[in-house]
Amino acid sequence: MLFNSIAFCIFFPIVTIIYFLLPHKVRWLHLLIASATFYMAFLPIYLLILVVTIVVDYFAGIYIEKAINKKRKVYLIVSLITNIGFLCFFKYYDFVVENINVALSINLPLLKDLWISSWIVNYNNIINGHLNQWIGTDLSILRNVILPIGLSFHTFQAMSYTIEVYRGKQKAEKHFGIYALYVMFYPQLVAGPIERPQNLLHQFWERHYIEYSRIVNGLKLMLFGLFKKVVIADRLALYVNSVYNHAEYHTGLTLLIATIFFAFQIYCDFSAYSDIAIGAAKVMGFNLMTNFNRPYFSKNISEFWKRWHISLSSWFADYLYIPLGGNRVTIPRWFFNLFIVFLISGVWHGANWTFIIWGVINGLYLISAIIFNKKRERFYKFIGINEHSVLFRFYQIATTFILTSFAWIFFRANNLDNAFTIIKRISKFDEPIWSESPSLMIYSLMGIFLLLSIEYIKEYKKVVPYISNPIFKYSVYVFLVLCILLFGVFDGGQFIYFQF
Amino acid sequence: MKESKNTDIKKLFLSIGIFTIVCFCLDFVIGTILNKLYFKQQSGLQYRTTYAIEKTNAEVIVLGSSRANHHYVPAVFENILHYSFYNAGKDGSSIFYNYAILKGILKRYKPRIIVLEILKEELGFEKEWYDRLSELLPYYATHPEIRSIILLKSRSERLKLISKIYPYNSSLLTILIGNTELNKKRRMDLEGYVPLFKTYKGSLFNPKDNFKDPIDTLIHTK
Repeated sequence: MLFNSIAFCIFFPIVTIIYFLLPHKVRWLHLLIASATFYMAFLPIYLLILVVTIVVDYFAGIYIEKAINKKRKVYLIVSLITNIGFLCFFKYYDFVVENINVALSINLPLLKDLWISSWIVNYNNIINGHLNQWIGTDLSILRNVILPIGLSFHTFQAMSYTIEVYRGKQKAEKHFGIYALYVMFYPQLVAGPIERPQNLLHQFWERHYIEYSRIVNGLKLMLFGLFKKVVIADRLALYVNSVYNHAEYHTGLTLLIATIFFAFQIYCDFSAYSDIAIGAAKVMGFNLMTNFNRPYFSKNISEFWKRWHISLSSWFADYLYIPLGGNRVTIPRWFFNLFIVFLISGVWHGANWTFIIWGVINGLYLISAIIFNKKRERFYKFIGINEHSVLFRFYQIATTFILTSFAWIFFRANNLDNAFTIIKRISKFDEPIWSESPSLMIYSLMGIFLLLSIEYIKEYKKVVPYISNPIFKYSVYVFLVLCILLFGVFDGGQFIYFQF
Repeated sequence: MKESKNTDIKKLFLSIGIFTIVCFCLDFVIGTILNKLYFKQQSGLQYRTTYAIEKTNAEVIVLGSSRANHHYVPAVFENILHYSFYNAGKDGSSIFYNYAILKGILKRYKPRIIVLEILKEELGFEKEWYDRLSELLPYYATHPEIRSIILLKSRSERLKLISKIYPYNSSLLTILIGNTELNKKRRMDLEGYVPLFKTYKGSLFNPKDNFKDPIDTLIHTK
């Protein structure tokens, strides 16, 4: 079920109202059923994957806590292998096999050729076919097996639970339903934020009440998220998709504009999902972690990664970077650690060389920033630049934006050839600028301008007259609703991060 | 332990209620204004759709996408057949759009000749064709004959159409421009036919992919 669908507009208030009407002791069951329904709206058969990993991790958590010495590690490894196994099988099998086939000129079977794929496809089609016929749903009939939605997200969340139990920082959850809900909690099930057990698990035991200010804040966040998704991200996607899918026919300037648009598109798309997820959870009384903190106001790449997809960055920091030694090692090893983290981050995003190169570029950005940091500071002092001036801050923000936008080319490109074509053409910087219709360009620029204005006010805590006036505040919300109706793209489809 | 306060619950329902009412009222007012402006247009793509559905009485009607709109010259038909002519083709339109226009026309009168220019791709399933039915949303309220086609767009269309603004979604600028003389200056419109004046830069001897598979291939294979 998509957050920007009519189905969710009906699902969310019903689930929330029933949640508050029910006694506390059965609320977990209600949320679990709601979460399963939410997930099954994509492909019901993939619920089986969730069930298997939940059962394995639930028992792994309990046994890790009970066991002593080496056995604890064994249970942890069983849990990790199960989680990573599913992830690798569905997400990376084809990528690895295709590359092996090309490298060794052999013909290993792809995922679609394996018996398990035809089993999944057959059962999916039987289940979905019957559901579509009996209750009028519109579930997909598959030709080939596809990646389970949000697999990377719930796998990482499940892994963080067993790792934390192993580290002794989290008690094993004895209540199976509550643990299942920790993995399946619908607001963040398919695209994060990737929660930690210490933050989320205890909240399912807590009693939540109707609190005016909390609910209003949650709804506001959801409204702003929806605005970012349908008014900005999906509008920009129309231009970006048209240009990137036919890069060879477009001029350098057009491709440059499409690349800048994509930088805003992916930010608005993904942060919108996080806003709606955090807002929906907040309405019910749950606090999810912040996932984005105005990343395009970052003054350097290191800061950018502290503000972008925070739940994933901190996951990699906690479970990969620090265990590798972090920065408390020799300098070459430190650089190696950084490089590995970003390489794996690229792989996490998708089984394609474009994502891997995107990760590598970001790793190299960070390493080179560390190498040249002191030299750069000395240079700034030498030429007498005031590092606190507005102009210099703008220069830093613009440079960071250009660097991240360059890396986004690989992230968005359909393949490596496509990415190199785009870079080659952008470097020519030739005119004219293509636009299917002037209104598309005007709406896109209006959306970006509005986003930057709002974020600028928040970032620099600018005082807006009448901001605390309730009439002014509600006028802004009404304005957002009207913008959604007037300028929203209602056929925009999925959130980009669903594919991960 | 605190509990849900009655004042909080009342305040919440009151706020949501007032907010919803204000949104509905503004939606109604803005939607009504947009409706008036939409049907007041005297030029542009939207005007031509309205003209085709509601006004044309031409004896020859051409339906189809950009190929139809930019290739069927009215003077040729008018001079040879001595019939009045209207080119109702529209860039990027689908078989659904053309069917809706046809239904709108047939409800009023029967043209002597109807030409449907179509590619085999337009007979297959393409999500985009359904999305583009949004072009017909402004006619939902006043043209019951095409409602069934509009509703193919999505299952939730009836619900979305509760909003008065929704039919004019993403059309604000186009509607405003359609109420000025700008379109008339920008593009020539000869009985619906829009000539293109640009020069083709590619080689005529190295046709693009879409010309490699002409419509008669479909006729042979099927």
